[in-house]
Amino acid sequence: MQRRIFLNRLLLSSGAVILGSQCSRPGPEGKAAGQVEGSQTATNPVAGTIKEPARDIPVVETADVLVIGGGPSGVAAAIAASRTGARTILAERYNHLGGLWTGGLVLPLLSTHAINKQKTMTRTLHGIGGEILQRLEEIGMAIHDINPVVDPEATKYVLEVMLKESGVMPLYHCWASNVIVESNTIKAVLLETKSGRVAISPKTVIDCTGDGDILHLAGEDYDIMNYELGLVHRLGNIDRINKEAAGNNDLNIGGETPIPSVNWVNMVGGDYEDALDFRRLSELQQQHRIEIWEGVQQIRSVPGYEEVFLLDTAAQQGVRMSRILKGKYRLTLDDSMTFKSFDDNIGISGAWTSLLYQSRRVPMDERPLWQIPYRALLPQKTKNLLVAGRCFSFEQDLFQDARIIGTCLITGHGAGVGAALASNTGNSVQELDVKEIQKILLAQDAYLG
Amino acid sequence: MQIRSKHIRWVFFGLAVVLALPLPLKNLTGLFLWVSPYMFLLSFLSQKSLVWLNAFGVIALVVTFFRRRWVCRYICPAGAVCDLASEFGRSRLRRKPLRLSLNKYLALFSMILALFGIPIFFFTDPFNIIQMSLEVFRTGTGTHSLMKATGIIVIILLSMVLPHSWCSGICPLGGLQLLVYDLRHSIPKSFSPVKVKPESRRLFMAGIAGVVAGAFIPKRLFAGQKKFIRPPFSLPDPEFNAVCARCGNCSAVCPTRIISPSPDIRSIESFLTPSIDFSESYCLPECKLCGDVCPSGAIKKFSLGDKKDHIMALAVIDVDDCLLQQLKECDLCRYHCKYDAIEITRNSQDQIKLPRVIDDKCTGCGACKIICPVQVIDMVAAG
Repeated sequence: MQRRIFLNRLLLSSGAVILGSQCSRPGPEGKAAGQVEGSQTATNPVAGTIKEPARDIPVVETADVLVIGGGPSGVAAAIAASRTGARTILAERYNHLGGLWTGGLVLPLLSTHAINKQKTMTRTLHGIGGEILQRLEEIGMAIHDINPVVDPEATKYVLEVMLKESGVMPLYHCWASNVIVESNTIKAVLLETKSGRVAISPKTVIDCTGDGDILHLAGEDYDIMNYELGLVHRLGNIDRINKEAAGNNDLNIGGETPIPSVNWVNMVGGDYEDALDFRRLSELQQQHRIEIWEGVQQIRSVPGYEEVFLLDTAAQQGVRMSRILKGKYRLTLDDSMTFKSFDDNIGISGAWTSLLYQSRRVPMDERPLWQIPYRALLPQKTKNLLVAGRCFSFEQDLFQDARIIGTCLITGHGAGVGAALASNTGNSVQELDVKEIQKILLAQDAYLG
Repeated sequence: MQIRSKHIRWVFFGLAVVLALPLPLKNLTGLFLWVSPYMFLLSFLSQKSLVWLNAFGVIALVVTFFRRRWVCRYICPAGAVCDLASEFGRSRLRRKPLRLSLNKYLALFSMILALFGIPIFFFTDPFNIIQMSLEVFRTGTGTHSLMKATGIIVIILLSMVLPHSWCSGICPLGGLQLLVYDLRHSIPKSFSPVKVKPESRRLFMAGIAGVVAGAFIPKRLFAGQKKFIRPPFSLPDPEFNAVCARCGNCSAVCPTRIISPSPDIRSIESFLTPSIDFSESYCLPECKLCGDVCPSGAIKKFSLGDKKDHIMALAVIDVDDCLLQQLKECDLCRYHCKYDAIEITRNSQDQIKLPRVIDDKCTGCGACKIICPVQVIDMVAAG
């Protein structure tokens, strides 16, 4: 009997020893990884600083509305402002209208459609954007109904004609380099021109620079998002590819355009770059140009593809994201996914890609249309500045649709009417009657749901 | 007194039902299971580790030392159900109670087996039996919820045919409580030679049987043919199949509902163990609930900081059909990877840049698989 008790205890005590030797405890709680924000080190001085002497700048023009940037949002804004009765000037740094859409060769006009509350695919692009597209379709220079692809030269032409018809004064080869702000009001915008530095004194300014240069110069708050950037190019003689000679060599030569012999070729998949770093932009420009030429030579070396040639590379480096305004309201991903209705709705945009929402994938053809409130174009303090285009105020998760040409045309239209109304009434942009803006927008054929 | 304890049991039964409802209870999901001292001991003996939720089990165990079969009388929801069934069997079916007393030996045997890392008697814990049957509230009716309800059906039928046989004769939780209660008699006597009670021979034999079984049941008996993607910080596979209680807490608590019990009865060793299905959603980087609620220790408690270092699965991209192959605008997989585990690079002389998974960084959360518009990303089990 004693032996059994002894064995029993041996069993128990050895068990206890095993337990004691193997006890473990979980470690302390860690933090989730955060997103890295862009750094602004491009202008760090390497040889001290130098003082620019103060000087008097001639005010060469006055205007009701001054639009900085002639991309999709700038053109829509300028035409809308002029049609609303404002004397409008549009300043553009390159020699063409349309910005990345034309000069950047980003030819697809995305986010033109989305699902409405009745679950049917609806066109959201109306108003001035819709008119531009209609004119392009009339001359056969836009293909596909949903997310159409346009011809860049035809688009430059159509935009130029519409700008001329509406009476906007275009200023090309002008770079807005500074703003003079007095008591939260932009008194003048300084432009670097072939005639030297000049000033324009507007009643209201619209920042359509894409990079948010003006809102930055005016001292408004913003986020910086680093993202892919690339150089788009076009290939000619696509119709002369000899498919038989090519055999199984099915090369990726981009997407079709309204001109049958021409394809446009996107540049995707680069690293996330700081698009506000002038040195890096130049490095990438050089790298991309060489890469494209050599890539096209590779294509030409494939049997059947000999006659394909590099038609052109884009005049503008394709910057997808840079500054994002922290405005009176930041449009959220949630707003865009839930048919959120705003009292100060100034336009409705569509969707072009699937996205991750509430930890599930929502495919493009199930995504709802989304309203853009006037407050998302409003900066915090400047009384005569509106922001349109890819730098308006939205949450980063919404960037894939917020940055796109279709949305730029919508925000441009809304900002143009708002700016014209502000200069007509003498109110600050923050004090405008949004009902009045909506009335004019509807009269200009905009879609407000 | 009897009446009051019975009432309290039904209150706890109601609580178990509430906790099993599909409500956003977070850490409270499956809390009930943590009260069972048998569950606690099996987990503690097999995993040799403690978490703070085990306090419930420890407290229940301590009270048991002073109050005979306290858990049975006041808390056990299965006890409430079985007593009802036994009453029915005795009065309506005129069945006579059966005197059985396997419980103590079963408890000792299973605990020693657990010490060797094989706590398979999790299935016989009455709290787990109730928990598994209640999973129907969360997962809906189906083959596997029927399979999970087998336990409760068996003990109800058993109690009807042989009244009280389960509760007083078989249930190892009851046995455990008796063993603990009996300790108070044996401790003071241990300083002098004592007369060994008849049952101690049997207890000794049960202990030896546990040692023999633990030493000779090879772990690979639990190694299934199929490779599963398990919840994060799960034990490696043969151990997982042996340790997992199949209680369903992890699939109940998962906010994105990606954990579901394996319904394949042919691979019996992994039957009803949780596996991850990435077809609808993915494993959120900011979530650690499955580790919090696992009562058996099959999923270890983990911190969010550790999550980036744990490989749950591996993303594999079939780049042939990737949108970038056609130079289409897409960056969704890289953009949504919270672990920077996808880079987009040129992998040959070819001009086209394509996504590539950095194996060292990929945790297998599945976000890239979910978001890919052309569905070319697959998740494979790690290892």
